[in-house]
Amino acid sequence: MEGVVVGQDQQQQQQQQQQQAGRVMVEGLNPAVQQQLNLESVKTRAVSLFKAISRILEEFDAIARTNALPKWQDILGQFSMVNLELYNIVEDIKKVSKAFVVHPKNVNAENAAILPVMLSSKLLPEMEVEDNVKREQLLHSMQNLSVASQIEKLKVRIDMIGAACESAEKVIADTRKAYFGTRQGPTLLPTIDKAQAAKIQEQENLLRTAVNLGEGLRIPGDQRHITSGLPGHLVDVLAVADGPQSFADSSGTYLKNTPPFSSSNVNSQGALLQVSGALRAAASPSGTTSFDTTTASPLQHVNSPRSSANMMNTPSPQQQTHQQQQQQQQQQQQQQQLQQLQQRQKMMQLPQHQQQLLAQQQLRQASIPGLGQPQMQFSQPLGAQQFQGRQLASGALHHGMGQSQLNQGNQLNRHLNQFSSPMNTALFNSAQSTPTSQMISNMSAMMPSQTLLPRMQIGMSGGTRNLAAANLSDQMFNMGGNNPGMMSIQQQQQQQHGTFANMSQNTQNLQQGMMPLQNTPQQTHPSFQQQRPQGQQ
Amino acid sequence: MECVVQGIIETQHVEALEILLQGLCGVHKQSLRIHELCLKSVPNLGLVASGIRLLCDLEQPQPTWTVRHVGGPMRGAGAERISVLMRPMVESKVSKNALRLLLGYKLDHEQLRVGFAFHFRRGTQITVTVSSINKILKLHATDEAVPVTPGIQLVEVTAPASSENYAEVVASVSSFCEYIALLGENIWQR
Repeated sequence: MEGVVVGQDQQQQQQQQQQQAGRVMVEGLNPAVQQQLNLESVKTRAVSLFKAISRILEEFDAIARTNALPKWQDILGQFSMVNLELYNIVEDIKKVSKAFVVHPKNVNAENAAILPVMLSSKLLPEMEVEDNVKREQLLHSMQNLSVASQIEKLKVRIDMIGAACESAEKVIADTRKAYFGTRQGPTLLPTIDKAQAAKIQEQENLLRTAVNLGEGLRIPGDQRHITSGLPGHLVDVLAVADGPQSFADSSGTYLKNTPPFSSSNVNSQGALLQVSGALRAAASPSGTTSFDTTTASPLQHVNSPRSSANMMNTPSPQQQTHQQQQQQQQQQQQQQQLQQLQQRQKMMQLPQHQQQLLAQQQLRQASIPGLGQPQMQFSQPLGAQQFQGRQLASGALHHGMGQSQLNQGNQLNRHLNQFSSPMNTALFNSAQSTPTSQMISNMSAMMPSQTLLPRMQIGMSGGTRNLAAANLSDQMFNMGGNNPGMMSIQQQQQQQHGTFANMSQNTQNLQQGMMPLQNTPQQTHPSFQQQRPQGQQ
Repeated sequence: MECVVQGIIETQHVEALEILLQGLCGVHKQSLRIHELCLKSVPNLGLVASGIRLLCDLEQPQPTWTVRHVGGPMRGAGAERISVLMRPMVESKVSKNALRLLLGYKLDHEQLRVGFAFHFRRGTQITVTVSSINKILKLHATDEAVPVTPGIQLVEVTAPASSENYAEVVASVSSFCEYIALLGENIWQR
């Protein structure tokens, strides 16, 4: 209550002061206000009110000092009188004070202190500085002129800016219309003739099916050759031996060009794998049947003195006793001569590839009168001495194979014959024995067609061991029908540059007559290819 | 899942559309040159035939590979109501060795997609692609690709969505497509 009374008091004083100041200004302007409000009476009433309030406050002080019980009824009565008087004064002032007086409605202890600041029309110091700076900028050029002219100039400026904005908007609108007008003009023609619309529709369908379904984008299988150079992003992705695996069509390409095999096994890569796997699985533990597909091959080891010896010697009793074992594998060897038999017997101990080489030699030397027994036999591994004693026969034979290599191969063969896994055996043999070079050349001889070479090469990739280049280059297999593509494909193989280069020279020398013998080894190549990493490990 | 709207535009208007899209999307275009290899699973492998796409982005200095699987479009009453195509889509970045590792898949067809794209946000992440689809005549010869339809290019508006929020994605894409339809030519179709 005290606060309220004090606030009211302040308010009254404020109002009085303002009113007086206003009156000074208003005096000249608005005499009617004076008639409305008798300022003197307002002042008198305010003063008497002030006195009454101070009297009440003094009474409160006295009561508080003496700690006497205040007579509340009296005090309340005095308070209501004071309140009523204040209310009347404020009402009178309100009528005329709107023009120049601010009358705060809610004055309490909180905002009593800040009211003067809030009511003041003076800016905060920093705002005032900003204001001055801007004003300075604006009126810099016009300070010398009078205020009125300054106002004129400012008005002109504002008008100019307004005009510029309007013209800019206009330009944008015009340009937009013109732009759309020219674009939409031709197509907004209602007469898009039916033919054109139909054409567009047809083109659209073409495009949609191409994107979503791939219609019209498929290349027929026979055209799926990687003929030109691969783009950069595919070079290292596709130039791997495993490429055909992810592109069955391209592998189909490889297969397409292969000459039809007499065996039914080679029609697809998968079939190859299956067949070779079956063949291997069916091999007997003795290892003799592990070369199911190759035992039939009369190819002889290229550089093996055995081969030459076979050609020169008659079959040993050992060899002849085993002739019955491989009857089932001799389907294509019916016309082979005894020389081939001997060679095959030797080859049994050799890795598959070596056997192929031997068979090739046998074929080449078909002119040698045969022994009439078309079936090959695979005897137990002969002693190394037998091979050492042999010599390479004619210059037609490949020389490069040293005896040491043969010995190595023999020992390995004997060892490997005990392997239970025929596939591993074959691969292991091929991988470990140095006669690999001969195997390679045999294989290449057996596959005159270009497309078979990749498989062969792949199978060979594990065999790059100490292959003397001289061995291969000396090999004189007369493979007349070899395509130069063989060489190119070989060259593409990244792993065995040297080997393949040599091989290519050799394979070209291989005779065409070797072809029938190639079926079986080819069948096993993929398996070799896949097994090789296992075998090598 | 993704929300897809496909349309076509005549090649002569592509430039104008590019300017319009730049204004509408507020971002700059990104050039697009993607070699798409579409692989199909080998027959008898798995229960159903499946296809995946390998996308090689040739625009980057180092080609980047992405594998993408797109499923069939959403069907049913919900699909009838909306004017866009919703279909499941899974995408992932892969290394360049992905091609070799995709055993059991063989190349069905390949195409080269050349054009530009705008990626922006308008309620949801939206991508507008204007591209010409080129067919590759010889295997992998991306330098010798010719357009399938020389006079028409493909416009695709795509936005990723999930089964929960696809309604608002659909709304965003639909409204955006209306803008384009208004601004663009009357050849636009859905």
